[in-house]
Amino acid sequence: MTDTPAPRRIGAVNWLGLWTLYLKEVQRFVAVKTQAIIAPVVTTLLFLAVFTLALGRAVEMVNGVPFAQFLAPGLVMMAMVQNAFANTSSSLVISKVQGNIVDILMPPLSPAELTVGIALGGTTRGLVVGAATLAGMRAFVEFGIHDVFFVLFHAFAASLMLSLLGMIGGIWADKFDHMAAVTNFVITPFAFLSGTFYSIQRLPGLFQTLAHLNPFFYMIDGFRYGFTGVTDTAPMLGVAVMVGIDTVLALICWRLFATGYKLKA
Amino acid sequence: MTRRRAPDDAAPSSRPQDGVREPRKTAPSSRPQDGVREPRKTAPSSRPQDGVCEPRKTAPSSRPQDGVCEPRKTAPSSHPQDGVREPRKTAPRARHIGWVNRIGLWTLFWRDLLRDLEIWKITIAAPALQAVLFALIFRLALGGANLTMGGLDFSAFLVPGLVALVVLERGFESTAYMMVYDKLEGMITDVIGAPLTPAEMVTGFAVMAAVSAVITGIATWFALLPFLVAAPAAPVLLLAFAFGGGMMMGLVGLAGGLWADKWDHISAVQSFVVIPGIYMSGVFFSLDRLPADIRVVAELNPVYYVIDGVRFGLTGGAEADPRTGLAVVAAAVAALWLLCWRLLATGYKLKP
Repeated sequence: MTDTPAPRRIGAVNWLGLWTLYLKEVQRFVAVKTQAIIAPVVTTLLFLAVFTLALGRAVEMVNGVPFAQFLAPGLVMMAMVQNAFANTSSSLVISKVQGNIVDILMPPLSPAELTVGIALGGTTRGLVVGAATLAGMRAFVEFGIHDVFFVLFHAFAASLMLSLLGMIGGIWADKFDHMAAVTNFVITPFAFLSGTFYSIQRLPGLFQTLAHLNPFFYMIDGFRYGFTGVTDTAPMLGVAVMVGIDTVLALICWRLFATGYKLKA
Repeated sequence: MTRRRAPDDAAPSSRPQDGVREPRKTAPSSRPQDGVREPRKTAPSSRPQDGVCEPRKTAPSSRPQDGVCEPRKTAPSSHPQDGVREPRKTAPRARHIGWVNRIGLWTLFWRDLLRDLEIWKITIAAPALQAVLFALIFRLALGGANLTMGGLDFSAFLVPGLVALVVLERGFESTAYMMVYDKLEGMITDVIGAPLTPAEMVTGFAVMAAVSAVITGIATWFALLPFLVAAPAAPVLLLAFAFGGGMMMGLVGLAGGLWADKWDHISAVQSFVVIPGIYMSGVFFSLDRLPADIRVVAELNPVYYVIDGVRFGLTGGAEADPRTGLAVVAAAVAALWLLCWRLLATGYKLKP
């Protein structure tokens, strides 16, 4: 009875803590699955219906691909990025507003572990929503897979990128208003205007150049290349861009947690 | 073993404090400060507040409580409020409320409209931007291909559809989010407790939603001007359809908000009923694009008549007769008004 339990020995990585944090992030969105998984799937299928019904006759082919087959991967990617972003941003903002952010700041988790755990939680939501949307679309659109590596890589890299962006936004935002503003005025326009619905070759000259500086373009284009084998740019360039951006964003997140920006007094 | 005993050890020291509190209960009428002044019958306790009255061993502090012990020059026993109230011979009378509680109705309307306008970035700017994005995407996706829809150029078809879309969505969100928020935060008692009849509540909410939706609709129309430069063909009808559509969806939102127990519920209503109901009813494409059996269902949807009516108001081109549309919308508003009135009158999910 006199023995006090010895503190758990934590090695280089607190695997138990990391796993717990990841599970918390995943279970948070599973608990509201109607809102977090089913609703985006339905909305995305609705977009597919609306665009094919409205434009199907006028726009038969895009880049030599039937319009619906061109549209489907773009819509799946749009659903993934929006939900990956929503997961980490809302998780952090809700925690901050409600005060239970201490539950992730107090445990023996390093800034790197916090970044990885929360980012993977958001990535998981992106991938779950993407897989569900893709399965739903199979019922309406015929499409094959050209290169499975590009499909999986871009699904993961894009979800990760938006998870990290959501984390930065969530740490920065002081209230829900701020987060809603970022979602409405930054994320949605980027997700809509980066080639989900059209080939960027349609854009006038200057905007086409700008589009090539937009990381959203590479994720959508690369993901679509995985399905259709048609691309607006060099496929491996997209891979390099995504790896670079994910690395930079992860470092920013790590830095924010390490310095305690807006989290610690 | 020592750990276990700890709570017991702590107990005796905490007892005296309990003993002090009890006498307080015997003098319930007096305010704390008053009680201090009276000589205590009970054993002097060691609580700092009580010690104030006794000569201190330590240096007298300058805490404001000390002053309480000195005899007051002014009448110490009477409450200051008594002195104020005395001149007034008559009690203030209750406001006479006539057939309609106009002040209450106006307050309810204004309160909730201001709540919408206060977050204009979410309620006005974001929907307008969303509409602009849609217009842009369709233009780019179309890529110069010629497309006529419902007898109109596609741009002329789409812009009124987007205005109607924003009006309808905004009308729903206005009351639905407000109701769920107020229920979850407990603020709904502010409305239920006010002297408002169910009919006044429904009317206040519905008109508020309609006005909020029309404001957002006007902002959206301005934002979409680059895509369709034209003065409204029938401004009065346009306003009537927008107002009616906003009110209709405001009532749907009110009913949905009353039913929903949490955000998940109202979000389900919006994602699975409201948005598909709007998107598939002629915002983006004419109903003749739909398979025949789905088209029949879509034509039974009052939302279709709002969209078609707004399109007639803006461009002068429409599929259905505007008079039929007005009748359908009015009937839908009346039916939904009665439903919401019944829900509020019976206290559905609001009163035990």
